[in-house]
Amino acid sequence: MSSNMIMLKSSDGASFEIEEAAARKSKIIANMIEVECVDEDKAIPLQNVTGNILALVIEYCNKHIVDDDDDVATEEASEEEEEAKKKKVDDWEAEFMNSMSLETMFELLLAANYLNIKSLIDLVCQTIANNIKDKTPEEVRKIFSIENDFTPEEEEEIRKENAWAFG
Amino acid sequence: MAMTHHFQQQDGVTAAIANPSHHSDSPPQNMNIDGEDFISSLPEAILHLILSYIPTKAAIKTSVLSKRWRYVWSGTPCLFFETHRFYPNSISKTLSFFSAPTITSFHLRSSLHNRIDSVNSWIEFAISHHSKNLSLEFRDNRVRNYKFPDFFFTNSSVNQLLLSSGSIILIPKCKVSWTSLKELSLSFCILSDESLRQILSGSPLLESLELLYCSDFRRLDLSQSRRLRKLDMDRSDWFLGPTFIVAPHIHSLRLRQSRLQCTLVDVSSLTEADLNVYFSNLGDYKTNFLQRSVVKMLEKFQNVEKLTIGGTFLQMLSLAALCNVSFPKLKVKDLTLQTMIIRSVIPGIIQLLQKSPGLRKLTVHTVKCSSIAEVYLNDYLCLHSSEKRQCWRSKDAFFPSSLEAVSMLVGNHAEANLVALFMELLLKNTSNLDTMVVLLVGYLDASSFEELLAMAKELSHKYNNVNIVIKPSKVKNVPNSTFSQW
Repeated sequence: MSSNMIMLKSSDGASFEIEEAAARKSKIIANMIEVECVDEDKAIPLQNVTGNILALVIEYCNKHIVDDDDDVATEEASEEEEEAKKKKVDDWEAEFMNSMSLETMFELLLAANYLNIKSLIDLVCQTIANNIKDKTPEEVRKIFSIENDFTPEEEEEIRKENAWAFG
Repeated sequence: MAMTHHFQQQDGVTAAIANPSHHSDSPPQNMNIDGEDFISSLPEAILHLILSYIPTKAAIKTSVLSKRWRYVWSGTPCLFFETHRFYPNSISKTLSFFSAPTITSFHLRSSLHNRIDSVNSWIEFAISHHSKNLSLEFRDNRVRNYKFPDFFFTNSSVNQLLLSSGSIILIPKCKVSWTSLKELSLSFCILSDESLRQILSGSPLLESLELLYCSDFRRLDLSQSRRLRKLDMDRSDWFLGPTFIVAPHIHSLRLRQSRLQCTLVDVSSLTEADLNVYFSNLGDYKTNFLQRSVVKMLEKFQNVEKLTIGGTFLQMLSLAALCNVSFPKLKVKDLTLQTMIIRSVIPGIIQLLQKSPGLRKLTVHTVKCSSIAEVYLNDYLCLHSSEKRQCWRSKDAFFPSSLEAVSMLVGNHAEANLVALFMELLLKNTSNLDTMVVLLVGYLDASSFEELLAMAKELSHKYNNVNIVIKPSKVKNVPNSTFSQW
């Protein structure tokens, strides 16, 4: 496997070195590499991603590229091994998401969306969605600091409109 | 998508989110009370994406969070309704507020009882919004005469269609036109040969077909489905008769047989197959077609390189072996046996191995699985074997019966020697093997497992230094069927 390194540059000027295979998790970067927009000595500028967020994106990509390699290496990976591996990844992802603030999480989601990294978008959306489903609107407002700007009458009206969903 | 300036600031980070795997109803511990409302300033498209991960009922509840959230849910591209408890009219009313012009997936889990008109209007909604994935699960069998409306059968957007029903008779009343359909999964549907033919000829791009416990059709002719690569079929016992499968283009077949015969007429492109049978009672078999039919099936696998066979199918291969039916030569390189270590699978396995000279990798997964009781096997042999005395009890009696095997497997009290002898038996009958993998469910306690590892080393030396991998496995049962979930 190639261990080509490429450089990424964040909006605030920080440079990061990353394995090409890990960077390819981003469809945008993969496309740039395909059409040879990548000059070997030059860093790819990512104008929409700050350094601290790019560091997280790279951490995620590196983690997942290692896992993909494992899959190829152990050909006799059995169901339960895959299960164990999946649990390991799940635990890592849970810890990864748990370690960041809500603000960071939303920035990460926007960055993942901009860079088009499907699995990272899934992970962040799922984490946020877990904090919305099975919660009352009051709880959701609290978790995300959403200010209720409806009058009680207005709110009641909306609840009535889709009463079955609030039952 | 451009990032807004909200997210460039690095200070004031006070919000923290609870453990994402935290599912209880209590609010998370580390939420901030006076924090900033970051989520509401996310772009609409991102909010839609987030709401795609929750059932539509929960998404609708976000409409009261604040004015910003009033109509966000109505642009969510994935809808998922589970409607058993709700009045159909209220869901129809809710859908009338929906604003996104197209959706990517529509998943409905509903009863049909007293709500056929509503169900039809929901399907129409999904189709008029160009849903790519359409999944309809009808979970009651009170309504037997439901007929899908014509617009269901003419649809150019659906890519993946899943239909699961208690008893629906699928009869297209018009010409089927599913011009984008690539994956079709039908469970518990009743289809005639003609209906199936219409569906297949209306789905020219079909790549994957799942027919789980569907009944009534006798002939599955896939010769015109030139893009179809994967067929997955679970046959139910209430089939009316034998089924013929003509599938010259498929590469991968997963077949779970019922007691009734299934004839593979043409599967000449097949490279991967997974076979098992579900039934445990051989009492009804008075004719001797049985052992021939399983071997005939193997004969159709001329080009199969990756083969998986379950315990009951192996038992039937054993019957064939003991009745002196000759096995075809196979090109299998990678063979997986999903079976308990029981004496009644051994003659079949030996034949398989001897007829697979190109085998490089052999995997044994000692799952607990259903099997045919030995009394039936012996009765059958007495009737159909030319040498009536030839009975495996004397030959392979060292290996346990299925009842004994279940107890060893569950109780972990087998001896390492038993597993090692089984492995040696397999090794003896192969010649070019590179790797043998044993995924051991139960059978041994920790110290016996260590013993087995030592024995495996000796076996490896004795048989061409074949690479032997032994792993304890936690998957105890082979599921009887797989239902794909989207």
